[in-house]
Amino acid sequence: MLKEGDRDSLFAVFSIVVSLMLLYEAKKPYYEAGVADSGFSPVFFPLILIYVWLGLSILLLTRGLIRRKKQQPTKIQISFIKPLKGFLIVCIYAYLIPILGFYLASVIFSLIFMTVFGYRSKLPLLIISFIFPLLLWYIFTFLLNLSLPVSPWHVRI
Amino acid sequence: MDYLFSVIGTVLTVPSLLAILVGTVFGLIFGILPGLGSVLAISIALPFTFTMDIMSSISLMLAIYCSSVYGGSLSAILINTPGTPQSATTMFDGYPMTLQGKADLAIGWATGASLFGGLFSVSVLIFAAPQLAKFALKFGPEETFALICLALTCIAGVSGGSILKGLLSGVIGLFLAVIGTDSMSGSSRFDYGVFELAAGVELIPVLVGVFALTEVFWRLGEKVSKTPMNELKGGFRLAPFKEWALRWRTLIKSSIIGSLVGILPGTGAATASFIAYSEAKRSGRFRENMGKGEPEGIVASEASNNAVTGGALVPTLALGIPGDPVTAVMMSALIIQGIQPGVRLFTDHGPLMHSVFFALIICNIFMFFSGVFAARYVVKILKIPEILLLNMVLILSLLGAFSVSGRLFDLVIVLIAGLGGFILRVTNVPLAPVVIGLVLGPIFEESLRQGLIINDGNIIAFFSFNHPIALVLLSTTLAIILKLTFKELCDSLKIKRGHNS
Repeated sequence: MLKEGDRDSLFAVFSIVVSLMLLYEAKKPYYEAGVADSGFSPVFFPLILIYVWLGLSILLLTRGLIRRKKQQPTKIQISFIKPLKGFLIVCIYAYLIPILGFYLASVIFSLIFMTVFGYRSKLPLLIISFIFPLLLWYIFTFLLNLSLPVSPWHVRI
Repeated sequence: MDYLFSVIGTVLTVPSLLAILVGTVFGLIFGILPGLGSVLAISIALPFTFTMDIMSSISLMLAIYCSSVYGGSLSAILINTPGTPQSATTMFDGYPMTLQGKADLAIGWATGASLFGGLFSVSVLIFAAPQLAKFALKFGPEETFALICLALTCIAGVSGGSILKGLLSGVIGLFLAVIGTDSMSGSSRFDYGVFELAAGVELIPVLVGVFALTEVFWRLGEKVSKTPMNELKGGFRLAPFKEWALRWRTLIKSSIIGSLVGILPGTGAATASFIAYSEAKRSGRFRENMGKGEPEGIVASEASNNAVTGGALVPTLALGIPGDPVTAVMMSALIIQGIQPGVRLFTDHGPLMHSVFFALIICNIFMFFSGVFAARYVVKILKIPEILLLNMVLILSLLGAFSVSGRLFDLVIVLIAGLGGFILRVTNVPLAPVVIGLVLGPIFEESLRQGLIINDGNIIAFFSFNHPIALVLLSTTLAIILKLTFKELCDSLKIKRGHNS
């Protein structure tokens, strides 16, 4: 359980760190060599954005620290375990697409995703896992003329 | 007359009509299912427009927009849960009508009002957009810069949550747009040696990640209880014309409210429906019965939220400034096809724009008939297990993002954007300004740099009386920031006083 001010402060700290990293990158000599159009370097506009980003993050941090004094801790109304599981499964899916091709990767992804999140009805599971990617493959390949990544065994067939 | 036939003929082709039909069904399903919505539907569909001709592409987007806004009303009426935020106020009278056994009548009211509001906003679009574009021809870089400042501020301020977080979100979006090769100097910026980033961050993978993936992860984590749906029955029944005539004032007023709200950047159909409902409750003929199953409530809500569709396209097409994430995505669809929305759009692509207006009329008509035929099947759609839908959304999202450039790197962008969007959502940072910042970033930077070149690096020139339009816009921007900051400060002080007492 965290106070909302603490959540804002944590996010603001993270935001400050990111903006400082970007500021460090923007100050590299490499960018000064690219001065063009009346003396404006390529990082002229990004620097403005970075300073605004930093300023807003500092304001957010200040506000969070001030507000937290009068706030009660509240529970975040969302679980992080399931989204994390979902994210990892999607990462594996994205990793498998170039290796196994779109169709096989999608079948494996669908079976794992729906099973992990508790769906057990066999017929819809099989239809969504096998037929839906097949339908998409058909639409992309024959109707939209877009090639999708194929499996290593595709050519041999 | 020949010109009119040519415009109509551009739309009434098999590919365009098919795109409208597919878009209507797709949008309707996404609108009906709570939590999915217009932005997700359009984000998923956008990559597929890459291979379509321009008319089919735009028709698809418009059809999804119209039908998804309408679709939310069906679940609002049947299960007291709006399919989209735009239909929240439809619940107030729609669900009581369902409990009275008049669900089919409520759906009839919602469908008719949506059609009227949609067509009304098309007429606003037809007259307002070209006029606004003519006015905007006077815009130089200073005015464009000022206008985008105002638009981003409005969007940041109205997106929900604090102005600080909204502005931060917008700045993040603007920054994403600068990654890659600078168009003026040719230098590479912030690519950290990653070759694929030299071309910049593609819009569509970010869109798909921020809206689609974030939504999926959020719904996986949400603890939501399902509404039992065993006794539900849909259907469609139109009320007699006499009943409609008794509510004509609310119908017209709500349509006007929706159209005007749609034109303003940062506000959307949800805002319009709340304003229209409040107005109907204040001045409607049957205001005493509102909230107890009075059709006037449904009319106010649905006429206004569908009237936003045409209104929101006015600044998008005429100025190149999208008012909300949905129109930002639609603008991307035009850009993909090589059409840059903005001041020259009506001059350079006049016939195309007139075809777009006609396509919007056809989309609204298709939306009406989709309601007539689909109403009885809505319950079946609502019964689809959520996990199946989320699975399909994920596959469609990744596939769509990949299909833009055929690069696997785009899948990495989608994943990072999805994770980033989830973190932003947990911390109540609005997501819409990120995307709109990304869309407007290149024009914003270009207008600032051009303005500074013209004025020899003097930023004060933007605020001078030589550019009165820019001065007014920038002053308005400043006023909005100060007002919202002051309001936040007052709210904080009220909380403090509340705790002290």
